[in-house]
Amino acid sequence: MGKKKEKSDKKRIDIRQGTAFVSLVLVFFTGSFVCFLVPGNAVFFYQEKQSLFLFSVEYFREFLETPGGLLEYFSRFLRQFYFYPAAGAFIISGYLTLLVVVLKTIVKRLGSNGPRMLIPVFVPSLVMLYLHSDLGFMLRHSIGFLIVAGVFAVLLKLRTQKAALVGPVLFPVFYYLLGGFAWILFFMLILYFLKVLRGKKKAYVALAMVIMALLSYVAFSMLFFLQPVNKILFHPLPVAEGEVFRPALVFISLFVAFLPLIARLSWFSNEKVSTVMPAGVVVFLFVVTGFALRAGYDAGTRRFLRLEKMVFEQNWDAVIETFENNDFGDKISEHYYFLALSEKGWLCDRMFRGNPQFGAGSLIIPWEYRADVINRGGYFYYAIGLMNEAHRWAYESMVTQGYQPQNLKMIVKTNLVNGHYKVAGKYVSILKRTLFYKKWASRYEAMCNDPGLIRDDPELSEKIGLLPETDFFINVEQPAANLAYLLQANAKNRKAFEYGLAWALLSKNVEAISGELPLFKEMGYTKLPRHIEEAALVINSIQRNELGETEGYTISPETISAYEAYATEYRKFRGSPRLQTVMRNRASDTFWYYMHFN
Amino acid sequence: MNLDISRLLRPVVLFFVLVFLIGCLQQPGADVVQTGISPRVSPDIGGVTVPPNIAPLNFRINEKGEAFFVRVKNENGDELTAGAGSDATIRFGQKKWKAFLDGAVGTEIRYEVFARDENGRWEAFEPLKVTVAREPMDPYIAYRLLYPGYENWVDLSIRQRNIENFDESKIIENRMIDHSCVNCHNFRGNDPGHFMLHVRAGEAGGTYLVDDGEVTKTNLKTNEMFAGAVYPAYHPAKDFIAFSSNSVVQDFYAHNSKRVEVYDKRSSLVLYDIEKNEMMSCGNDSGLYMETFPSWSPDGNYLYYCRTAQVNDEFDLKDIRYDIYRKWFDSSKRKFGPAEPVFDASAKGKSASFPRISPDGRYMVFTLADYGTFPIWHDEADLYLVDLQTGEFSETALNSPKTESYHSWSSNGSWMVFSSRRMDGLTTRLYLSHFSNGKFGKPFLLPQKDPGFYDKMTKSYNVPEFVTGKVRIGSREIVRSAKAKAKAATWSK
Repeated sequence: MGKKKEKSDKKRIDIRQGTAFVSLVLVFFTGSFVCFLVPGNAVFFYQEKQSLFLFSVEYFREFLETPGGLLEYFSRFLRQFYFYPAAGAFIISGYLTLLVVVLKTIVKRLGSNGPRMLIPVFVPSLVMLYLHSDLGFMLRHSIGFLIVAGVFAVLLKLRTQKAALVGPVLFPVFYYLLGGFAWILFFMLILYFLKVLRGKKKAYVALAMVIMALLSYVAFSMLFFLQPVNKILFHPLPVAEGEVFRPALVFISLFVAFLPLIARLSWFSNEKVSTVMPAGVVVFLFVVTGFALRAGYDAGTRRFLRLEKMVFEQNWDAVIETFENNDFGDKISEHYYFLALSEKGWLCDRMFRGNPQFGAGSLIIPWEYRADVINRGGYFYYAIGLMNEAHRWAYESMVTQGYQPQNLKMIVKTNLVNGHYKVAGKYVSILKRTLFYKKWASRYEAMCNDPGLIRDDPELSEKIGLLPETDFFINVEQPAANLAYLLQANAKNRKAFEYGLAWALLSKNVEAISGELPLFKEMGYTKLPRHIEEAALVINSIQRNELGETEGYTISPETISAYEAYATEYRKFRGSPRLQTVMRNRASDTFWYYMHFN
Repeated sequence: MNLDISRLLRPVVLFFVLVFLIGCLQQPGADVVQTGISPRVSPDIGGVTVPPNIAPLNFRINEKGEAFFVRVKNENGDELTAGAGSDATIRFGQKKWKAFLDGAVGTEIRYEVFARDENGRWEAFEPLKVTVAREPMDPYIAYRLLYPGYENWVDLSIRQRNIENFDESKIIENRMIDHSCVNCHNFRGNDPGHFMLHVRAGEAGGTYLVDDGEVTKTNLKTNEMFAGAVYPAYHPAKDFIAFSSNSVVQDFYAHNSKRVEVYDKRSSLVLYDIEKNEMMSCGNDSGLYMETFPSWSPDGNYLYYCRTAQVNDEFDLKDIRYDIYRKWFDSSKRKFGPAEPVFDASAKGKSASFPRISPDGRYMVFTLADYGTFPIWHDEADLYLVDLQTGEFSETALNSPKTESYHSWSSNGSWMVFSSRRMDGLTTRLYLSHFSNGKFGKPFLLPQKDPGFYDKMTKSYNVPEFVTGKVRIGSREIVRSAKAKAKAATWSK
C-alpha cells in the first residue's frame, strides 16, 4: 500500500515537474525568439554579411583542414539563413532551447531528476542567449556545446562498460568533429567514468582517455593538419583569439563539463522538494537575463546597422529619410547619408537637412587598414565613378575578410563597369553558389555573357558615363584631391563635381564655390542646386553684387526670400543667447545656418 | 541444397550487357559525320608540344553535344579513350595516360574528338595534334599562390606542383607564422635542396636559407643598406646570393586600363656571402643608377640585371625604362667587373625586366613593357628572346594581348614556365612551352585534373620556378626555425 502511494506520489511529482519544465522551455523559446526577432534582429544582418556559405566541394574541403572545421562549416551553413531575421531568431532560439532539453536529458540519465535540476539546465543557454546578442558572438562559438551535450547524452544511453570503451576509442573522431569543444566532452567523460566505474577500471579508462587525447593532438598537429597550435587545440572556440567572450565561455565550458558532478549533488538530486521554488528561480533568471539584455542593448549600433542595411540594399530614399529623422551622431552614418543624396542627385540640394556634424570629415572615409573602414569606404568611389578605387576597396575587403556578399557584389559591378567581363564572371559564379545571392548573380551573369546588357542597366550605364577618360594616380593620403583629378579626367562627371562642392560647403569655403560657379553652365545645369544658391547669395552679399543673379543663373525667389528672412532674423537676435535656437527653428537645413553655427 | 548457378548469374550477365550497350551508345559507330573543323577545347591543346612526363592533358570540349568521345592515338597504334556526357569534360586516368605517353615519345599524338547531337548522330572533328618531345620537363614547379590584390594579404603560401601528376603540396603556409608575408623563393639552379625565401614582418621576419635539410634564418638588412634585400638570385654553384635592394612604392591608377603600378625610388645590387654571412655591394653604381632583378649566367661568371638612371624627387614614371646589363664576377675574390650593356630596351621605347639566361648560356629571355619595373600589371608586357651569340632579338611565340611576365628555364633548357594573364586579364596562370633551336613552341596551360579548375580559382600564381625534384623541407621545419633569432649579416667593404 505504502509503495503504491510512493509510486503515485512520484508520478505526480514527475508530471508536475514535466509540466513546469515544458512550460519554462516554451517561455524560454518564445522569449528568446521575440528578443532576437524584434529588438535584436540587427545581429543577423551584421553576422550574415560576415561570410558567404558556398555550395561547392572546394568550399567544403577548406573546412576539413582543421579539427572543428566541420563544426564551423555547419554553423556557417546555418548562419546563411540569417538572411531572414525570423529564420535567424528561430535558429538561435531553437538551438538554445534544444541545449536545455539535452542537458535535462543528461541529468535525467545520470539519475538526478530532482526539481532543482531545472536551474542548472537553463544556465548555459541563458548565458549564451546574452552572448548571442553581441554582434561578434557567432554560432560557431557556441553550437559545439549542443553537440557535446548530445554526444554525452548518447553515450549515457549505452551501458557503462560499452561507454567506457566507446568514449576513448572515438575520442579522436569527436576531437576532429568538435575541435576545441572536444575538451569539454573529454572532462565530462572523465568525471563521469571516475564516478560510475569501480576499482582499477576508473584509472584504466581515465588513462585511456588521456592517452587518446594526447595521441590525437600529436597526430593532428604533427601529421594531419598544418595549423598553428592554438587552432589545433581550440578552434572554433574563441578562447585562443583573446576575444571578449572568453570569461563567459570558460564559465559555460566548466559548467557543462562539471554538469555530471553538479547532477550528483544531493541538493540538486533531491526529488522530494517542490517544483515551485526551482521554477521560480528559473523565471527569476529569465528576468535577470532580460534586464542584462536591456542593459547591454546598444540602440545606436542597432540603428546604424539598420541604416547600413538600407545602404546595402541601395534603398537611398529610406537612408535619407531615416538619417534626417534620427540622431545618429557618427561619421559613417553621415557618410552614408551623403552617399544616398549623391546617388539620388540631391547632394547639393539637401545635405544640410541632415544637420551634418563632422564637417567635410564624413564626406570621404580615408583609407585605413581596419575592417570597418575597408568595408565601408569604397561606396563613395563607386558613387563618383572612380571604379578602380572602388574595386580596390572591395578587393582588399575580400582579401582580408574573405568572401562577403557586399565585397563580391562590388567586385562584380566594378569589373562590369570597367569592362573586365571575365573577371566579373568569376565572382558572379561564386555568388551563384550561394542560396540567397543566386538570383542577384544570375542577373549579372547575363551581363557578363552579353556586355551589351550593361548599357541597359540604369545603374551601371550611369557609372560608365562617370568613368575617368584619362589616367591619374589615386591620392590615397588626401582622398578629396581625387575629386578634382576625376573632374579633369571626365569634365561631365556631375557626381564628382557635386562632391567637390559639398566638400567646399562643408568646409565653409565660399571662395572655392565662387570659383566653381562658371562650371555649372559647362556641366549643363539648368538650375543651381539649392545649397549652391544659398552659397551664391552669401558670395553676392559679400561682393555686393545683385542678389538674384549669378553666372547667368537666376536664383529662385524662394531662396532669396528665405535668405532675406534669415538675415532679418539673424540681425534681430544677434547677441542674444536665443540666437542659435531661433535660427535653428527657422533655417537649420540651410548652408547659412551651418556656416554660422556648426 | 541444389544451387541454380545460371539463375544466380543471370542478373550479373544482364548488368554487364547493359553496361556494354550503354558504352556502345557512348561511342561513335561507323556512320560518323565529318565536320571538317577543329574542335574548340579548353585549355587549348591543339598544336602544342608536351614533355613525355606531363600529367594527363584533360580538357573541356566547347562544342554542342549531348555526349562526347575522345580517342587519342599514337604512331605505335596505341589508343587511349575517354567519354563525357553533356558536361563535355574529358579526363584520362593517370596510369593509362603515362603508359600511353611512354609509347609516344618523340612522335605526334592525335586527339580524335566526337560529339553526339540530340538525334543520336555522331560528328567527328578534325583531329587535334600534340607533339610529345623527347626532353623531359623538371618534375616540379614551385610558386607562390596569392590574390592578385593590392597591399593587404591574409593567406599566402609557397607551393610545389608535381607536373607528372596533379599533386600539389605546401612548402610554407603563412598561417603557421602569424600570416606574415612569404615571398621571393629562389633556388640554386633548379635544386630542391638549396633555396631561400623571405618572410616579411612579424617575429618570423627574415630570409630563410635551406641547405640540404637545414634551415637558417638570417637578417640580411645591415645599416649600410638603404632597404632590405629584395629580389634574389642564388648563385648556381657557389655560396652566394645576389639581391637587389629596393625602396618600393605602390600607386593605384584611376583609369580602367591599369590598376596598380609598383616602382622603385632607389635600388641597387648587393651580394650575400652565405659562408661568411656578409653583405657587400656589387659595384659602385649605386646613386647613379637603379639596379634590379639580378640573375646569374648558368656558369655563375656573370650577373645580369636591369638598370636605369637614378630618378630625382620629381619624375614621370612613364619615362622610366630599364635596360639589361651584366657584370663579370670573380667568385674567388668576390669582385665584380664593370657594367656591360646587354640589351638597350630604352632605345626601343621599352623597359626590360627579369633577364633569364638559358642553361646553355646562349639565350636570354626577358620581359618588355612600355615603362617601369613591375610588368605584371602591364597588359602590354611580353616575353622576348635575345640570342647572346648573334645578338639577334625576337619576340617569342609565348605572348598574348594580356600580360606575360615572370619566367623560368627548366634545368635542361628545353622548357620554359611563364606567368600570363591571358585567361581573364587579372589572375596569373602558369603556361609551359617547349624550346628548341632557338624557338618556343605554342604554350599550354599547366594541366589540372579538372579542366574547369582555373575558371573557379580566384588566386594567382606568382614566381614559378622549375625544380628538379620535390622540396623535402616543409612548413614545420621552417616554422621551427622561425622561432629562432635571425642570424644578422654584417657588411663587408
